[in-house]
Amino acid sequence: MSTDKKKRSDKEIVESLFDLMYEAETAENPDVDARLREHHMDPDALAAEGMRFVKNLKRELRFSAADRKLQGFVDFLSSVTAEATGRTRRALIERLLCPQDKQLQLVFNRRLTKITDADLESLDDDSLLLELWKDFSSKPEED
Amino acid sequence: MNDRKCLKALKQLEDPKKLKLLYDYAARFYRFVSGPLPGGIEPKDVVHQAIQELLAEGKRTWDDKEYPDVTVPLRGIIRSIMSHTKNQAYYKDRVRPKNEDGKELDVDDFPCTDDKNPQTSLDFSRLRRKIETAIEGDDDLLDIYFAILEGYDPSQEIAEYLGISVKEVNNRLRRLRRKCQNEIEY
Repeated sequence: MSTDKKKRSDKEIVESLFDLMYEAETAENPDVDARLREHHMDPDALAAEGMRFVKNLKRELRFSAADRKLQGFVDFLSSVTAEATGRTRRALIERLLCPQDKQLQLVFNRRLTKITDADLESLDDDSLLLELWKDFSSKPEED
Repeated sequence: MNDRKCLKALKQLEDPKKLKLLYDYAARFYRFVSGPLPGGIEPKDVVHQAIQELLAEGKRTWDDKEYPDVTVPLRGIIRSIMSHTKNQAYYKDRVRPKNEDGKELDVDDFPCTDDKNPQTSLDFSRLRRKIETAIEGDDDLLDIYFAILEGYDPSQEIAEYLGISVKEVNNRLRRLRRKCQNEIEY
């Protein structure tokens, strides 16, 4: 425990008190649904809205991460295939992509064509952000 | 935020109970501390903005080793957004707080605060006074209050400082909340 505490502003004092009281209240009454109803909020409707929000955000983040990584991949390929253009470069990229990695293929295709909602639903939730670039990052710098 | 942390946060937030706790926290902070926000912004909007800022916009950080539960940083972000939203409204509308003589107050009137917004400082000063009124004469609650003034937080630290159990600290905090309910709309 620190013995050298800094002087707190009114804001910090009130917020600390509020947080401590909230935690004590939550421990005393863990029924969050009942507490939300106290605020005239419908817990089920709120949870459904929250889940929709998180799901949409997750979808956006997955594509954002995948696009970032794919862009890095394309930049890398561009640097090693500076002489190749158009169809040649695309053919090379497709050959280098791991044929088993359907998610990476989907993201790659999304940059060339429109991806559908059904395609999105088929993406595995957990592996894309973590595993998408594993194949690429393990490839040697030079071909 | 890197992908690993992002994924960890998303997994936690897919638990409806965690989301409900955040909505509950925002609703209570709204009623107890911040008051109405401009533009009809509701507590649930602030929760969504907090999640967005932490996970998608890179405006906030999360030390997942020290705070494995993502709702801990999100609670801080919720408080920050509510205070900031009120600040923005203050500077936009130029609604200056005034003293009893009708003279506009400035930040210099609040030398004990690090908050540079006079309106926010005034709001928090008033809240502090209301809390102090609520616990006046109750030594057990004053002990807790002075421990927080000294910077002790959370309950574990207060318990060690006062030489009482965490359970006793929580009992006193619940009693403090009940007393505050009489003084503050909560």
